[in-house]
Amino acid sequence: MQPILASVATAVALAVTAACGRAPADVARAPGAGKAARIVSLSPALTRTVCMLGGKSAVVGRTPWCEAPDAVVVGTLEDRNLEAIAALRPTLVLRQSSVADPALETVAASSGATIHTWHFDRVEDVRAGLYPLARLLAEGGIPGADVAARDLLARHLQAITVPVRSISPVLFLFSVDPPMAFGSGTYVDDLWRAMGGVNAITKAGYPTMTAEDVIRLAPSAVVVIGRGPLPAWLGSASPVQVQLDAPDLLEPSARMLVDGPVSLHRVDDSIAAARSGG
Amino acid sequence: MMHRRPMVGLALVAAVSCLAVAARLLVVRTLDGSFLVGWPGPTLGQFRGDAVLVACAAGAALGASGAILQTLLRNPLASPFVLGVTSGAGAGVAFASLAASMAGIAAPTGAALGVPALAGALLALGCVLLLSRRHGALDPVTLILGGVIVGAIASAGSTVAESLLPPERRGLFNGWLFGRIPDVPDPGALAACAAAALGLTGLGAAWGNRLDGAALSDDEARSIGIALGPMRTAMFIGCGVATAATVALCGPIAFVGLLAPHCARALVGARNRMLVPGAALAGAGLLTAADALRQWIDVGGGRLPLGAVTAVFGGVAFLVLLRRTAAGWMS
Repeated sequence: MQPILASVATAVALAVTAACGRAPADVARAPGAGKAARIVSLSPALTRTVCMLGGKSAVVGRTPWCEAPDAVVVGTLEDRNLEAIAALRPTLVLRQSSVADPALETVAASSGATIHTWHFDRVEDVRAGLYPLARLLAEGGIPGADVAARDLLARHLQAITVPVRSISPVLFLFSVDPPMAFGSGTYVDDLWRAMGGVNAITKAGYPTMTAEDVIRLAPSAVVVIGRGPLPAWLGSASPVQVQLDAPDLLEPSARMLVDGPVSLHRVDDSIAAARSGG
Repeated sequence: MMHRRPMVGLALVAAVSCLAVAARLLVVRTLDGSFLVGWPGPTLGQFRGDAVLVACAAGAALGASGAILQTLLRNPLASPFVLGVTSGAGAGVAFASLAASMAGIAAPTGAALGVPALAGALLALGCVLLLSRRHGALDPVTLILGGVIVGAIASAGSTVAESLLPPERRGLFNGWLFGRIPDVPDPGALAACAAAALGLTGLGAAWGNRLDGAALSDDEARSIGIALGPMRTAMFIGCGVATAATVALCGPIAFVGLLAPHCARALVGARNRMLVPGAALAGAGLLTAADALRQWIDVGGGRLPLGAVTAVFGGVAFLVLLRRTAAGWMS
């Protein structure tokens, strides 16, 4: 019963969020509105989200880790090439940071671009940023961005409202050497709990652990997100181990929103199969 | 009376190191913040035992290397880091990770991580030794400068390689770069590190009198019949191999190689016959104590990186020690 209630509550919250389309403060007015969008993204998660909203062709500058291979690499958030950014004449600069960047603001202002900052840390952050980002793209002449956002949220809702069967504590690791976990308040924790699951880690953030910590925790299942061989000692921690190569769960972007719950359902299926001896 | 002091000091260093080992074996803080004291049984005890073995082997190798380098270079601030070996090992791992990424295969882990680390460490050491060779002998000053430069180049190479790695592959490299005691050490890497530590410590103790002579000026050393060139070369290579084995096993660890010789010198004196074994014991105890502290302190992110613990606590302790011993570190 509890998983179903959690899912219903999440669905209601999502519907309200989607209807409101909450915008960050700096998105309220875009001087570059009306021009064809030329986007420089300093965040792989934001680039991926823009691409999923249909704006891939508008991305002209990116980090080395962004998809959108046709775009020029302009460095990273911490080490961006201002001259390269200025030469691209962007209309939108997207970044994830709480730190002001006066030099970037000057360059953006000189080319009539606006800087938009999001913080995609948790599921709610991505959900809340989806409609404002789609609105920016629509204003930049990218048709269907708002429809794409609605579609993404609908798929997210559909996937997340199906409760998981595993209701005993599950440990999610994104590294095994050393063991590093998705703790409370992370986006994987958000998704798993919204689907009615229980995270074995109640500690907030992404705690670094030791093998002894994991064995003492004795979760009902250990899920390792990523590739590479699993250490033998995991068998002492839990009889059920699931390994999943799911890039969608390694980055809080729109892809996590849509594909993350699907991956977690695959995890749930694998746990159920392992418990039943299959 | 004087000849008994080093033995008493050595016994004291050993006793303190044993305390650190006991603390690591018997006391742990769980993730929820409660302390557990006692032997946890065979399964969990195996992890603690392995951690102690790794810390002792790596700490001893670093401690012995530090003592020998400080003597040979006549520089109280010399340490394995000065040779650029750590940065070279880091570059080896970074480029191996990058090559794996470009080839679309899994990044090296565990024992495989040790191979590029060792290759990078030995390459850096080879470059430093070549750079510092003057008229057939190693020049101590050029050696330090060469180590700094090679270390800087290797660090820059690591940064470039890391920046080209996809985000999901950077975690492993970053984790290694902070220094760590692996939960399950690679047996080969552990054996190599232990052998290097024992070998270097034994060599340092056996050649203690020669090392004492090397601490004098070159002319003075020659006047008492000590051939500095071959001994320096052999010792530098021994220190480089021991440090590389440590880096391959644990990643780069700061301050142990610098601090352990000073701790030992304060207790056993400056004669290398006792100093080198004392520094090895002190290094083992320091690294084990740092790993124990790492288990007890949680600032919100779980277990602290080992390198951060050794840098913070080792740095403060070193400053205190420096004030006490600055007047006559070799007296």
